[in-house]
Formats: sequence, C-alpha cells, structure tokens
Amino acid sequence: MTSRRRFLHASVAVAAAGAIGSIGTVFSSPRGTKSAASAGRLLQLHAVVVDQRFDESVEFGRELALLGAQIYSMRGDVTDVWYSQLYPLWKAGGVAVAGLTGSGVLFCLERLAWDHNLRVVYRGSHQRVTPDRIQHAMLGRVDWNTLSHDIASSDTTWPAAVAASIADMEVPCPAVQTGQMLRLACSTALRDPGRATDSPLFSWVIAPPARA
Amino acid sequence: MYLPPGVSPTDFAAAVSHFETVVGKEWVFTKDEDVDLYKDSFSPFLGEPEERVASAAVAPDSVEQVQQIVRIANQYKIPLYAISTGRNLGYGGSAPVYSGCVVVDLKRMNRILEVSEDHASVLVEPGVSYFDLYRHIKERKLKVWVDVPDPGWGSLVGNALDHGGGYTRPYFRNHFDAHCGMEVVLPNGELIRTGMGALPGSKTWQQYKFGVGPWVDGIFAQSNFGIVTKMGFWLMPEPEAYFSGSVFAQKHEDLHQLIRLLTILEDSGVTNRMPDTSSPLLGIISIAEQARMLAVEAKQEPEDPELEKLRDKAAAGDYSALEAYGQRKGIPYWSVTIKFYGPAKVVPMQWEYCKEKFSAIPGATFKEGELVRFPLEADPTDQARFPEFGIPSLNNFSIGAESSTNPQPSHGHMWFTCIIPRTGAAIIEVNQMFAAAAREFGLPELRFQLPAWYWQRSAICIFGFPVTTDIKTNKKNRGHIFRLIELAAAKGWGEYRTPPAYQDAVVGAYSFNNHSLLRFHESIKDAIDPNGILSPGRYGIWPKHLRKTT
Repeated sequence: MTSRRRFLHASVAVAAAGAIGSIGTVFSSPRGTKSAASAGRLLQLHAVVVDQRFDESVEFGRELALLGAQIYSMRGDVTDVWYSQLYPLWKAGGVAVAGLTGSGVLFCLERLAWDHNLRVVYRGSHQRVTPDRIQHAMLGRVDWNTLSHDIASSDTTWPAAVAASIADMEVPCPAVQTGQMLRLACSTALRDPGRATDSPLFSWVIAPPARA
Repeated sequence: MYLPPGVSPTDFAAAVSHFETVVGKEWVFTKDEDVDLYKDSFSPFLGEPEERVASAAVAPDSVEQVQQIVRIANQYKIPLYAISTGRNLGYGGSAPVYSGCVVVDLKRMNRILEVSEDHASVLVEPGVSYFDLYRHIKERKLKVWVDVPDPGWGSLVGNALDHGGGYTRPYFRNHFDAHCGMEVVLPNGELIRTGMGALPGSKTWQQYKFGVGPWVDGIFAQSNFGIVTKMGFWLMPEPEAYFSGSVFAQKHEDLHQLIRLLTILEDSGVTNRMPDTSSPLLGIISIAEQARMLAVEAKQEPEDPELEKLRDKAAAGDYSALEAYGQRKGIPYWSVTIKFYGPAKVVPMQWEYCKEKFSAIPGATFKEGELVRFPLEADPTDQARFPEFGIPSLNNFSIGAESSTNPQPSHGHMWFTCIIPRTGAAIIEVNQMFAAAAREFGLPELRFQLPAWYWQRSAICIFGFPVTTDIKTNKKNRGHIFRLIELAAAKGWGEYRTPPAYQDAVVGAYSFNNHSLLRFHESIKDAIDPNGILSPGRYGIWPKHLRKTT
C-alpha cells in the first residue's frame, strides 16, 4: 500500500540522487493531499512543536516539516509558542498539531486545547531504560505493524519512524485519554547513545477528535 | 454516566433537556468523552472510588443563561458546581467537590467588559484568563499591569475567589483584595451587584468597594453562596522603573532581625514587591531561583560533602560550624532580595534607606541589582522574571517532567499551606513542626525551609506531597496532610486554601466556639439555598440534606 511515508522515503532517495530539485516541491502542501491507495482522509498537520534541547525532537520536527508542517520551536517553556502561535491558530479554528516534548508541555497544551474542542488523538512515551535502549509505549490510530517494524529497524531512527506513522494517520480519530492502556510497547536500541537524552519524551498529536 | 445522588433518571433527563433549550444542545455535555474532562488533573484520589466526578456539564455564555440554569436546577434539585476556567490545579481543578454535580463551565463567559487606564481598573467575566487580559492590555498599549499567578492560564475571577495570589505590589498580589465590585447569581437565580454596583448607573463600581451597608463580597469567596458572573479588579499602573537589592546575613540567628526589618519596610511601603528569601548555606533556593533553574534546565551541581555534614548538624540545632564554613567560603547564611517599583530616581534611594536599616545586622553585606525601566522593549530573556513584570507564563510546566532537578516526576501535587506570623521565631517553630512530622511519617530528614511571602502581613509555609499513580502512596500522603492539619491547628496556624479532599478537615480546624463560624455559614446556606443546589460541600459548607450530624 502506498502511503505518505513511502512517498517521503522514496523521494528522499530520489532527491539524493539529484533527480528532484526540491523535496518541498513534492510535498508543498499536504492539505487535501491523499495517498493514492488510502481510503480515509489523512491527517493534515499544521504544525509541529519542537523542543530544541532534544536532538530527537528536532529530528521529529524536521521529518514532519518535510510534509509541510510548520515548526514551532521552544526550549522547555511553551509559553511563547502557545501565546504567539497556537492560541491564535486554535482560536481561529481547530487545526492539528504534533509534538515531541517533555510531559509538562503535553500536559499544558492538552488542557489548553480542550478550550477549542481539540483532543490528544495520539500519544506515546519514549523513555531511556538502559544506556543503550529506549522503551516506547504508544496509543492512537496509527499503522502498528508498520510502526513496529520501522521503530525497530536500523534503517531509520525512532523519531523518524514515529513521525512517519503520524504522517499516515487517518482522521478523524478518537481522543486518547491519559492513562489509557497503551497499544504498542517495545524497546529498541539507541543508534547514538551518546547524543540521546535521558529525559523521557512524549510524542503527541492534538487534533479535532472523532465524536462517538 | 454518574447521576447526581437522589435524582431520578427522569428528572435528570428533563433537566438536561431544559439546559439544552437554554444554552443550545452543543453546550450541554453528557457523553463520557466530554464529562471526563471535568476531573481534577491532580486528583489525590486517582483510580479510587472517592475520585470526584461530574454527571454532566453545561456552558452558558450570558448571565441570563446562568440564571435560567440555576432555576432549572432548583426545579429538579440538580446539584451544580461552578467553575471559571477550571485550572485551579492542586486545589481541585474542574472537578466538583460533590460527585454527581452538573458542572457549570463559565469559560464561554470570557468578555473583558471594561478596562480603564485612567482608573487602573478592569471589569471581567469569569472566563477571562490572565493571558487574555495581558493580550488585551498589550494590544492596546495600555499603561497598566495585571498581577499574575504562576501559571498564568487561570481565571482572574476564579483565582481571586479561591484567595490566590501573585508577585507584584501587596495590594495587587492579594487577588481578592485587589477586586472591586461583583455581580452574582444567587442560588435562587436572583441577580445582585455588590458595592457601588447596587446603585443603578453607578459611575464608581470599580473605584469604591463598599457601597453602603454590609460589605458582602467576602461571602462569595471560597464558598457556595452564588455564581460570580462579573468581577472588577484594580490594576497596577505601569511603574517607571524597577530596582532590586540583596541583603546577606551570616548567622542563623540573624533570621529574626532580617524578617523584622523586612516586615517593617514592606508595611511602611518602602519596599513594594514580594521579596525573595533563600539560604545559600542551608541550600534553600528562592521561588525566583527555582523558576530560573527550570527555565534554563539547570543541572544541580553536587554539593561539598563537608557542607552536607554541617547541614545535618545545623538540622540538629548546632549552627556554629556551618556559620564558620560560610565565613571561610564566602557563602552567606541568609539572602533576602528586596524589590521596588517606582520612579527611576526614587527606587535606588529606597534601596539606600533599606541598606541603612539592614546595616544594624552585624556583618550584613549587600549587592545591588539592575535598574529596569518600563515599558520594556521586549519580554525579559529571563523567563523567571515574567510574573514580577505582570507577564503571565507557563514556565511552571517544566515541573513534572523528569530532569536533573526533578528526577521523580509525579502526576501533580497537593499542598499543605498554613499561614504563620511574619517572624523568625514562627519560621523556626514551623520548621521544627515539619521536621518532627517528617520523622513521624517516615520521610527523609526534612531540611529547613523558608516561607513564601505572597501576603504582606503574614507568611505561608508550604509542605508539598506528590500525587502519584500508586493508590497506596496517595492514601498515605493524604493521611499525612490530615495529620499536618491537626498539628498546625494545635499551634494556632490554619490553612488559607486547600483542595476538596481536605476542605472539611481544614474548616473543621477553625473550631472556635463550637465551630460557630461554620454554623454561621450553614445558616446563610440554609437561608439562601434551601434546595442545596449550589456547589455542595465547597469549603465544608454542606446543604442541610447532605450535612453530617455529629
């Protein structure tokens, strides 16, 4: 099945070979874009919140930016991102935002999003458990088979794998509450233990939820 | 769905249908996925049957709708629980005190009705957050500040009504003190305005608090006597400048003189911003320094093992070796940073005066801060300074994430916060009580701590417990808080604010003359809310049919 993820990987390879002038051309705007074989509507991600203190978050953001998501950067404190960027955006209408951040940022943005009828529709936790392994636990409407494969693969990093899965989410999807049993739990080897953070990180998507 | 106790499904459905007629179907929430949001994010009852839950929620957007909702609730005996933005974290959040209440969510009532730069005042609805008002002020370039709590995402009305506080000048940082005039929907649906607002066409509703006759505003704070639908506040005129200076004292005993002088200077108006206190030798950092460390993700440096041993000796009452260490290493025992808002020419002079006074402490040294002029050209790069410049922040949410300074994150916190006199003796005594309590609870040895100075005429001592995902730990911690309430009451110290889990116990400690104050509250409740529909149990005030007889 063709997916946005495979387009991304294929295009990166082709661009590297010099066949395409700009990846941005291929993915200039995801709005209204559907993958050829996808039956549902794909998540239209407006922005991704990146905590610049963490390489993993920067990489996660970069992957989603390739699909047209704007990067909103911060360093631990989400005040300015929320006040200057997310609040005006959400007030104008519910748009989907993703992030790979600390738990405090997710806690805060989740509650602020409720004011605009938005919910967390995907959440994951990624915690270093040994010097060279990281434990993942995730829940949301993603392709678990592909994610399980990619996250354990040595061909890609876990932030890139998670970003790609988010990019392929079909919407609308239901809200995922804090404390719900997480769907996928696994641990993977760290590719670059020296650069990996010790802080637990949380991947998330806030979007208009499916209503029961 | 959790039905209100004692209400039949038929009556509940009828009430819900009437609510929908009033506010529109889209603003009445009965599905679990929506009602679940009205839980306490920091619930100390996480996963337990005592966890407070709502039966439904209704979100009006006008006073008239609030009145109609209250009348419907009376008709069907539906208990209601009013919230403003529902972000009173650590004090119950958006969950009702009494499970089964229909939450009246006032978030849609978020209009800033009037801001007067000339009179430095504002009139707002309950859904207006500190961020909302700050944005309004900045967009219009008004020369007024709002005093903000930390974090700044809550409601001005909600925060003031729960006796919250901030960081700037005394009469603004006590948020209830800073209010002037209210509009309230009473439990029978009647609408009143307090103070000068009771005079039709009043021109001074936000300028003179009392009107004439009894001043009733206080009964609507930390109570369930009405739903506040408008509230006026005094704002701080933007100062010309800000200045700070630090005083360092070298001996443990200097605490008494430091606090005495600080109190006199603040009561005299010489210093006019919440002070910061710390003890570099004891390892106590100030609130401002905590915020700064979170903002920069500062790593805690390992302490000198000799210093740790000397701190242990000090904890046992032997301070002389620690004092000698401090002298040797140039580390002061105590640090007090005092702050001034005012004219640029005047504030450095106020600091000079303070230095003169603090020089009475042998060995006191001083360090000046910078003069900051307003308006600021850009927000300060040091995010820890936001609240002292009237800028709301979410920096607090760096807490809770695992970090070098917080290796064990939790699901929130619960505070035991008692009011003590502003004296060195009281600070020492409360520390002795906390240390003894920690030993009784089997907790690690508790180090000396300094109070917070939110209130001008008293101090707040805080003992925090994490909320965890472990039911046994949460139960144990709740038990500790109940014990602290008893211990503090025995010393004549009461709490100023508390989450619903402890409201009955805290109010129970205020037992003068056989709980005559509570009995007075109950008589008001019985008179104005005979059906007991409004926020049952809030701050220990139960309607007759739910009151425990002892």
